[in-house]
Amino acid sequence: MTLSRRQFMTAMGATSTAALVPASFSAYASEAEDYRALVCVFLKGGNDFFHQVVPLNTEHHQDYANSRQKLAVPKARLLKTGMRDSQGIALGLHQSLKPLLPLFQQGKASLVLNVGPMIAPITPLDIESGKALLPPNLFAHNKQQEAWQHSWLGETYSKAGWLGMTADVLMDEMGGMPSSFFTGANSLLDGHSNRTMYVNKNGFQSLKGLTSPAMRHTYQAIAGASYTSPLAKSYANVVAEAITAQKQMAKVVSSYPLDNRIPKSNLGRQFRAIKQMMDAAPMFGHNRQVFYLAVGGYDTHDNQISRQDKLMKEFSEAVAGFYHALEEDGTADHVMTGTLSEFGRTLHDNSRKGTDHGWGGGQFIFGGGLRGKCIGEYPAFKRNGPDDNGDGRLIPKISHEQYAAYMVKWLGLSEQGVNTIFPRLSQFGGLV
Amino acid sequence: MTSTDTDSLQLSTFSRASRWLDLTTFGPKMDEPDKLINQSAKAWFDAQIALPQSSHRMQILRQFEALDKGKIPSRSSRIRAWLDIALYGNDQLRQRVGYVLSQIFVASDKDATLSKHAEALAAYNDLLCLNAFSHYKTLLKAVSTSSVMGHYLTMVDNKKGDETGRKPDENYAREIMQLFSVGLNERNLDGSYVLDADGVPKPCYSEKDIQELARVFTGWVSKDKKLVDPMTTNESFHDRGEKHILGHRFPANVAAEEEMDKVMEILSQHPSTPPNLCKNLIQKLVTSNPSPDYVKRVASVFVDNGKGVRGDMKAVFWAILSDNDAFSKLPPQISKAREPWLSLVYIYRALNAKPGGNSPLVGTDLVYLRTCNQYPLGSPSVFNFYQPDYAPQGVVSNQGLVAPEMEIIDWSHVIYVHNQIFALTRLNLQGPKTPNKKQLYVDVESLKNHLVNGDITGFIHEVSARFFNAQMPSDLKHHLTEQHNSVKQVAGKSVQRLLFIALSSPYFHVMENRA
Repeated sequence: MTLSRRQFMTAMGATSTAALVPASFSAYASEAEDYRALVCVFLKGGNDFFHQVVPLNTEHHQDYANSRQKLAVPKARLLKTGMRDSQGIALGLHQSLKPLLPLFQQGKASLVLNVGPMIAPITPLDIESGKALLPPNLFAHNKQQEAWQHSWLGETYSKAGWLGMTADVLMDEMGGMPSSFFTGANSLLDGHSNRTMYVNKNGFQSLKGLTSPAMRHTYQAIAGASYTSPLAKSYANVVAEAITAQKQMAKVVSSYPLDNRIPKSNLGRQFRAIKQMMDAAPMFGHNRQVFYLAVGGYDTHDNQISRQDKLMKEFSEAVAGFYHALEEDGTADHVMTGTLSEFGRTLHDNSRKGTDHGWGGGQFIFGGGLRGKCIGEYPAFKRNGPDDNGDGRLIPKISHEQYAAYMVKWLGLSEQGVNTIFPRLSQFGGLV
Repeated sequence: MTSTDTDSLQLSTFSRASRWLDLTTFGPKMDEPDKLINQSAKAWFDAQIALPQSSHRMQILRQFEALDKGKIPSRSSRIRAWLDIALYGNDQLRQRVGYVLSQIFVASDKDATLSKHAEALAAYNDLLCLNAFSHYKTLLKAVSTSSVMGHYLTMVDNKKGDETGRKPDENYAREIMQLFSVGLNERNLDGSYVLDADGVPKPCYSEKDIQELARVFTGWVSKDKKLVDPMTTNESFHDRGEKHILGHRFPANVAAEEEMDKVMEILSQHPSTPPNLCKNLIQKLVTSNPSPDYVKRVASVFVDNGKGVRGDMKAVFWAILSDNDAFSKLPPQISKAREPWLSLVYIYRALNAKPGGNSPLVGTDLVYLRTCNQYPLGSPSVFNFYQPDYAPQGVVSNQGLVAPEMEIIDWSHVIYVHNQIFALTRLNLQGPKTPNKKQLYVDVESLKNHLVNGDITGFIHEVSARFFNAQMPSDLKHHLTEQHNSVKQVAGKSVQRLLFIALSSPYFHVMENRA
């Protein structure tokens, strides 16, 4: 079922009058009128965050090294972030993430520790007794990627994604360019009334076949025709979108060149593509934008050290390049970039010099003008320790919804709006 | 419908013969449907399987020698070799089915290791084609023990756990169950999920099953640096302890290969494997939303081919392709978005494309990394380019339908693909005098002749036959006629424009029966 914007506002408890006023004045949004953008970067495969952020003090590093054996990052390869977790454990950053170090030193980066997909708070005792309410298909990539993009409604996940629902509230779109952009398939941006737009990291091509007005007319008529076949209509819809998008994009491309301060890697080109949309925000009249990017290869079952080194290099160079470009433009405080990843990885290494699918992991947040901080506790990195689910997978202490809520609140949702999109948030203790 | 009924499937009309070739090959070539009219589909099917198999490995080496500059065959040479075979190979059925299998038993050159092993990927493509009509168990074992899969899902060099708490890698154990056999949740024979008392799907396996299966998949090594030969066993790395998997006991002290065979048997016998696999195969060959009855008919053939044999893939593919629904039911029941990559291949075949300068080898790779959002054996992960349950929001999801291929068909790639179609129809053989070996040139002479004679009806009739199984909708006919009548005609350019209108339309990009 799709809801119109008004139906959605009504479903959220707004009176019909409230639903008629611009969303940014409704009870679900805060009133900030400055530009804000949230960029979600999905690290697909299950990022081993605890290979990237490692305790510096001897005792905790020893626990970590005992668990991870040959995969453990030696202290000599860790950079001092100056950050401590809520227990006071000093945290180091893997040297392959060095391009991001200045962001930590300047207080522009935050860490969220031991966060994972959850539908209810979990204790080791619940797991032992078999009473734990666990997310369905807990260690399957595709199912947990979906879980991360939705909120739990009690029996099922929300049909729309949490960022799409946020966009429903915050974006006042009366046509023109959509303000939700993505570089790959996702459901995070699916909302009830918001519109989304694909941006191609390989760049924009204009339609070359429309050589005459008559051609354009026919091409357009076929795209707009009615079809008894739903799949044919669906294809026609994409062609219609291409016609609209090419007009919009031609204007963007001629006015706002790709930002070549950002590297040309896979992730870098995705950042370039969305940066162009940010640069064009004034032309579009957008004061809120949201973005979904994704990069694969994080399923490091084997040769984790070399695989992670390459992944960290690409990630850190792309994020740092993006951040510095924003900083030079004076917009770094208006853009928040946060990572998502379906799960963390096992406490132990496996016999292929890799790690297996875990549960609790960690995430990075950059920019947004907030004072960088560390949220949560570094988990006890001990096999059969208090945070082990019994199989060497960390029980998360922070729900993915708390993490998501933190970001969308920054983007401009009121607490009431947050609690409507994440109706079960209070069982985890609300916002982090 | 019993198997005797479908054995006699007659290709009684041009449309039916053309539709049959649309489903069973990379696209009908000119005159091919005519030759099949009133022939027995089963006879054609059997004759196709009896043809010698094209070799991707031989072809990549030919491409490498002729056109590559590096020291080892490039990824591009593998794609050009794939095109050589798709465009000119005779064993079309085997290749088409092998391509489907490459999207289920996924291995990809996007992997950091495999990106440097194009020849091995070509050999893996051959392996899928070779085993396409064998038994499921044989196919699954060939996949499981291939060095390419061993590297892709990291089973190669997997070792038993040790006293430090290190455990075997679970990667292959998990994905062989989720993606190559039983699936996440239990299914009935018609593909629907088995629900518990609360209406919740029941998982096929537990985490414990995966951990135990990971112990089975230890002790396999690859001695071939080129990753072409299958893996072999090294018992000293194999976990020889007792194990329990999916309710089956694996006694202690059994060799790796014997345990592997036992797993193949268990996965083949599992009641969820036939519906899970068969529904996926139907979706990739015929329709995105098969009826439960269609799934059940095919899954029943997997269970028993009529001679008491389970997992006979030749019988399964015959059941899928000869099902009466595939030729008679209208959308949405029978309807599927054409994969963008295959839509280009279809057009090149239909227009009898040839490399320039009489080159025996395809010299273009169709800019495979960006044009279609997909290319053979280049999936972004083991989850393939698109998921079988993907439903684009709106007209498809509102009706509770799915359209998997639409996951990679976004506005930007529609432009890339449509531009490619526009460009390829310009490069016809009557064009430049010294044709470029790196291009494919199409033959549009007969189409052009209609326009030279001012015969738009004849033009439409031929386009309908060659691209629409002679079922071009009147709507599209109308548009082509209007276009023809409203623009001053220059025969060469007009062919390009009119073909572009037809081949960029949803009627071409969605495969379905039309009334």
